[in-house]
Amino acid sequence: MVRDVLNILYVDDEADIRTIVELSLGLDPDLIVKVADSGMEAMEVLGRDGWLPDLMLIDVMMPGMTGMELLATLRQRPDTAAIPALFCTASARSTEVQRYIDAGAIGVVSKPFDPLRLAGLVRRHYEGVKG
Amino acid sequence: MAASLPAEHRPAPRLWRVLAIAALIPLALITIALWLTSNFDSLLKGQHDIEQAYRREIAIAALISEIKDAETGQRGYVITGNPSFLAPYMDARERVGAKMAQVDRLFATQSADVRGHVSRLRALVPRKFVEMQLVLDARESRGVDAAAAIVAAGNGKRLMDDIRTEVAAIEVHQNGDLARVVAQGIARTEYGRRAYLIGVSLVTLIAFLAAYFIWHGRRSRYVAMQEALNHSARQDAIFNSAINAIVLINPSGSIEIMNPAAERLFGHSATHLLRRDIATIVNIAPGEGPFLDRLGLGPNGLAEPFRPLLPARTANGETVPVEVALGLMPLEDGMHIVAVFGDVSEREKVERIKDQFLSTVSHELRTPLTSIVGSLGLLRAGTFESLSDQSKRLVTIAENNANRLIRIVNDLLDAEKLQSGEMEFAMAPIDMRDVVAGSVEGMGGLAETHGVTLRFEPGPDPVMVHGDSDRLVQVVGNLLSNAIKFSPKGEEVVLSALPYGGRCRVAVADRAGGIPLELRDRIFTRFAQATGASTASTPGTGLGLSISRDIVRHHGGNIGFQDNDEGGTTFTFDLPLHGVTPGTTTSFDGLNGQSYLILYTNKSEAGWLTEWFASRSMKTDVVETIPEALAAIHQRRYMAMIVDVQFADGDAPALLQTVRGVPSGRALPVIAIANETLVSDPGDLAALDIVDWLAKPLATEQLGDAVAAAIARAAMDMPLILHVEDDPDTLDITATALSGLARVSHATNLASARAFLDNFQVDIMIVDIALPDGSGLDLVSELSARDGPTPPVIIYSAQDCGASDVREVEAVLTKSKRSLPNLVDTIVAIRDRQDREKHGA
Repeated sequence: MVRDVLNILYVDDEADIRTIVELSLGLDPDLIVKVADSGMEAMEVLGRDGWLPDLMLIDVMMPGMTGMELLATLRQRPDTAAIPALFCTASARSTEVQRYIDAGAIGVVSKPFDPLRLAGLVRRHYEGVKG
Repeated sequence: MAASLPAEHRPAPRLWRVLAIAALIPLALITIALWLTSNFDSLLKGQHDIEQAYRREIAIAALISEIKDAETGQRGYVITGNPSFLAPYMDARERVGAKMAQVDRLFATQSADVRGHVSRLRALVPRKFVEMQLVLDARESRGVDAAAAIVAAGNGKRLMDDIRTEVAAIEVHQNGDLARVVAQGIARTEYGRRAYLIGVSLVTLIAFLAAYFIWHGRRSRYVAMQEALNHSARQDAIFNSAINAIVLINPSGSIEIMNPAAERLFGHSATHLLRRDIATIVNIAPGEGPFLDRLGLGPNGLAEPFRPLLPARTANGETVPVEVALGLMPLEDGMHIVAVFGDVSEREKVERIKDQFLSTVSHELRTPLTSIVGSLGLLRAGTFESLSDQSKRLVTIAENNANRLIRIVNDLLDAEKLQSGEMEFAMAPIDMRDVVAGSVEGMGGLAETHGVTLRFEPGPDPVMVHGDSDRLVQVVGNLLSNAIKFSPKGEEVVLSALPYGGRCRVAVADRAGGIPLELRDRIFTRFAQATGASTASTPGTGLGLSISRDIVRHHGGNIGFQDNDEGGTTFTFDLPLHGVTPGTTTSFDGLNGQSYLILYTNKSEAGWLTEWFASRSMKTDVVETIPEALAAIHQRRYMAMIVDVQFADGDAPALLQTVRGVPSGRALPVIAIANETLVSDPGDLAALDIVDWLAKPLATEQLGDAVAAAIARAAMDMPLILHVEDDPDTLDITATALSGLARVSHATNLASARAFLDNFQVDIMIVDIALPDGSGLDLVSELSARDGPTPPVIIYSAQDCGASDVREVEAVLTKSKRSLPNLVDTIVAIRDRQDREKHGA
């Protein structure tokens, strides 16, 4: 089965985790990852030189603009409104998961995650929406 | 502290008892006095008797003396002729009548014998005087010789002798009488003396007793008063020094007393709040009506004696969170309430801090752990550069421990959430076979590491429970990881998930060393871990089993373990089976596990359908030809048939008519799947009673709706069974066995069975014989008298009975696990017959 090349934007304030997510997702050569360290940077990266990802992976607890706020803002932007988004969080209580889904996310990746399986997980979430 | 008795149990002194005791003492004294008096009377009578005896003697002596005086005077005159000698004679003759009369009177009460002597004496005395007068007359007229001749004749002497004889006889009597009377008198005197002594002793005794009782009564009262004083002093000390605020409330809800702690807590002085409604400070009984009713006081005490969080209003207008424990204090003027308040503002603050802390742990601890585990995982996998074996080992150690830290954090959070009731459960109907299979898959790696084999052979039928799949996977995972970690290398851990006694039982059996003795009774408590060499290499958090127990309990189940005969331990947990709530009409969810027939030639489409049903715990059979379909319908009962109309190559009507032509296909709900043209114009297929038409490509939602409609149709078509049975287990098991086959309602006694029959047309009845209010056979014999058709009856009872000859009884089955299939078969047979009758085949 031919797998699509997917562009992914990962937004997290924790530099270490950004690195690990980049490396983990990089295990799937068809995933191309860009990272941003805050909601503000994500807003800048998106649409710069016409680049838009197929999927966004957004940390929830970030200083300044939270993941929820970022997604709400992106949903208002015509060019980003339809990009599927996954939240990434270290406090995945079941009520909160529902809150994230209600906010428009297609799913939640809970931290800590298995770095060797992260790429597959993200891909499955994406295919769940597109397929 | 002595428990105080309720007021009605304290005996009050009774007036009648006091009066009885007060009356008894004078009564005893009067009796003694009367007794003594009667003794004195008897003594007096003895004295009187003696006196009378002497009187009689004197009277006799006086009579004799008169006669002798008369004789002396007579002789003097006869000898001398001197008339002066006649004076004593004359006096005696005059007096003798009176003396004789006196003797008569005194002897009137004597015995007949004595009275005989007396009457002879009375006859002799006049004769003596007549003889003496005769002598006197002879002396006077004829001289002394004539008189001497008469005397010499001896008549006078003889009379005198006779008199003496009579007197002597009387005296003998009299002496005997006197001796007897005197002896009686002595005896009476002696008796009287004793009686007197006894009487005095009794009076003294009574006086002593009375004195003792008075003393005892006063002493008891004194002791009781001292005790009451001590008791009250103790209570006062407790009341006054208690840290908790204590308020005593009367039956109308007003404050009677409060302790200093209450004054401090509420900021009011006790006097200020006296007789004020308790709601002034804390509204412990909101609502309308009498205070005790609002408080929820019933015959079994208070419905809710402890209330963990209520707002209290203090004097300066602040609100303080308090908890309150309510106690009952029955007093003579009604039920009083003791309310003990605790200030929980500190605790609330700590709760908030703890929540914050947990949130911090959750996020701040997991974030660095994410980096560590992620880095180590990538390193170990050798993704970027290959490591030396030693480095790889070290990385594995680091990764394992980081993972362990994550588990500890997760377990701590879970345990906390379960304890505080904050754990949220996403409840849904789930198949426990999937749960166990999921856990087995998740633990495969651990099992491999420990060289332990996992064996799980799921049964053929779904085991449905209502639960949170993730949490139950966690429970099985906990049990499984323990079993793996404690099992010796090369052993096997066996899992099962099966219906068991109306519940679902999941079992995890290992061949490990068993549970150490000291751990057995607290293995499900927090941080209960086996210590020692055998466990040094297999550390856990000590929370897994406690979490498992809490999760299972939340599902209405219970968890336990037992030793295996061949060594090792089996941990089991039971959960209520889903959809077998007795007495309810079988619901959509309860039909999970039923079969669907799929008639399709396109294998990939059929596969998609099969998966769709399987993911909802429903079974399917796929057939490709009409004869196969008919054979399948004949063999088992399907909830619905899903037919690809294209399959029939445009001859769908012929296909459906064939299905409708066999008894078991007559009422089978059919879902037809066709391309859009056919769906928009079904034509003559409309007459074939199809539940729903679906257009290709199939959409999940529409298929769901169609299946729900088919189930509703099937349920409508199901017979209504009334199961009359008082044993909840039998009801459970039977309802499970019949789910999908019938709507089963139950009645646990004859009365409710009759009420049910009054209201519903029952198709089949299952009746137990021994019921709490009579025999099930009575109910059966009443059936023919009821309106409407008489339902066939199956006697399903533990006792053997002669019920088979009752006309309405279809079958008699003895309750047992083995007879359950017979019961189901009998019902299927009845249902088929009823179907045929209904359709007039």
